[in-house]
Amino acid sequence: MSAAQLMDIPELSLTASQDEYAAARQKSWVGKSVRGFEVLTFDQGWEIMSSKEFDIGGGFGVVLDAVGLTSGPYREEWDKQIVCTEGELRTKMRQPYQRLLKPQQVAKLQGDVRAMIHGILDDIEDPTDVDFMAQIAWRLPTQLYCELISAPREMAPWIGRVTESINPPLLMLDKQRLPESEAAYWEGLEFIEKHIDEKRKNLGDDFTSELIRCELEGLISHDEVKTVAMSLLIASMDNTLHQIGLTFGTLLEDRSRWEQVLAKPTAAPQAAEETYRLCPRFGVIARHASKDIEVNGFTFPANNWIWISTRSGGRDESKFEDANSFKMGRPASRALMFGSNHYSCLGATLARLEITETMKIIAERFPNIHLKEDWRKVEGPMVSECEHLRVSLV
Amino acid sequence: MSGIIVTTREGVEHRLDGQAGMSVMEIIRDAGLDELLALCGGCCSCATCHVYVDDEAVDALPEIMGDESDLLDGSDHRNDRSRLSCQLIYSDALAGLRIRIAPED
Repeated sequence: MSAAQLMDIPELSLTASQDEYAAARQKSWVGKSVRGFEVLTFDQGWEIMSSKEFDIGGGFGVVLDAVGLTSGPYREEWDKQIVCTEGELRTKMRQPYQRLLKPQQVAKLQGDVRAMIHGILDDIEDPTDVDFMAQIAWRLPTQLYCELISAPREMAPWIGRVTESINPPLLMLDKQRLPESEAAYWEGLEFIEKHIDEKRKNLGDDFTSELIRCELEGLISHDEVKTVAMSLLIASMDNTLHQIGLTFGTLLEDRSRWEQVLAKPTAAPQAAEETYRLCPRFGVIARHASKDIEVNGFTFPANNWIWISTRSGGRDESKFEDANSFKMGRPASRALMFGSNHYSCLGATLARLEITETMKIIAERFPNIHLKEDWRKVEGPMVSECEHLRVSLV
Repeated sequence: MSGIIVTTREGVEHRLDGQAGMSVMEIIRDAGLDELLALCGGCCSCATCHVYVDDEAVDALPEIMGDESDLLDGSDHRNDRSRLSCQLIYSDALAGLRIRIAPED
C-alpha cells in the first residue's frame, strides 16, 4: 500500500459517533484507527467477513491482550476456548455447537421460550414501573440456559451474576474488573466440572449430555467437553440480554417504531433485524490479514487487523434507503453483527428466537409499553451495553 | 389462478394471494400460518422457513445458491424439492405454485 493511500483514508476514534462515521463514509469505505483498519460500508464489510482470505488472528486473544490478560492460568484457560482458536481446531470445536444450536434444533425451543417469557412477565408485580434489564432481559437467557443444561431454575440468578462478571469486563476492556472476571471464571468452572461429572452418571436430553455424547462418538476430547460447556456459560447470555435491551430501547425511543411492530406482529423477526442494524450489540467484527489482501481496490497490508464496523455498516446510505430510519419491510439483509460463514455466531438463531418471541409476546400482552424516562446505552470500542431501561408495560 | 397453494404439516391446504416482489415466506407469514418461524426475517440466515415445492415447479424456480443449500443441509428432512421460502420471490410466473411446509426436525 502506498503512503498516499494510507494518508487518504479517514481517521476514526474507537467510539466514533454516527455523524463521524457518516462523514468518513463520504470520503472512503475504509478508515483507520489506533487498532487497525475500520471497514465502514455494508457490502465491503460483508465481503471481508465472508472471505476465506482473512483469518481471525487468534480471535479473542487480541481483546485479552488489550485488557492486559497476557499470561497466567486464566489466559491459558481462555486460549483453549473456541473464540481463541483458528483453523482445523476451530472447525472441530464448532461441530458440537452446530449440533446443539443448529436452526432446526433451536426451532423446537419456541414453546419453552414462550412459556418462560410469559412466566417472567407474570412475575412482574408493578407493571407501571419496570426495570426492563433486571426484570425481563436478564431473566430470559439465564433461565433458558438452566433449562438447556438441566440445571435447577433457581440457579438462574447465580448464573447471571457469574456470566455478568466473566465476559463483559473483557468486552468493555475494563482492566479494573479483570480480577472480578477471573474469580467468576474459576467459580463457573467449578460448577461446570461438577455438573458434567453428575451428567456422566445419567445422560439425559440436555446440552451437557449431548456434549458427553459428542465425546463418546469421538468428536471432541474429554477436556473439550469442559471447554465447550464453559464457553456456553460464558457466551450464551450477556450478548443476548444486552441485545434484548438495545432492541427494546431502540423500538421504544420513537413510538412510531413500536407502532410498526404492533401493526404487523407476524413480522417481528424483521423488526428485530432492523434493530440489529440500527443498534447492534457487537460494534465491530474482527478479521486479520496474514498477507497483503486486496478488496475493492484497496490493499490491506499483511499483519494488520481489519475491524468491520457494524455501527457504520448498518447505517450505510449506499446500501439502505433512509438509513437512519426504522422501517419494517426493507429488503432482507443480514445483520453484520452475527458474522458470516466459518466464523459466524453459533448462537445467532437462539438469540433471534429469544429476542423475537419477547417482542411478539410483549406486543400481544402489553401493546402500550412505553419508556418512563430516557434509556441509556454505553458504546464501548467493541460492544454496546444497555445500561438503563425503565418502562411501564401499561 | 394467481397466488400460491400452501399445505401445512397437518395437511390443511390454504390458497393465498401473492403480491409480486414478496417472498413466499412473507406470503405464508402474513396469512397467519405460524408453522414457519422464519426467525431471521427472511435474510437466509436461519433455515426455519423450509418448504417443499411441487415437482413441476422445481425447475422453474431460481437456482439454489450456496448459502441456502448449506442451511438446508442442517435439516433431516431435506429432499430434492427442498427450498427456503424466503429465497423464493413471488411473481406471475409462480402463480399457482404448490408448496408444502417441511416437517419439523
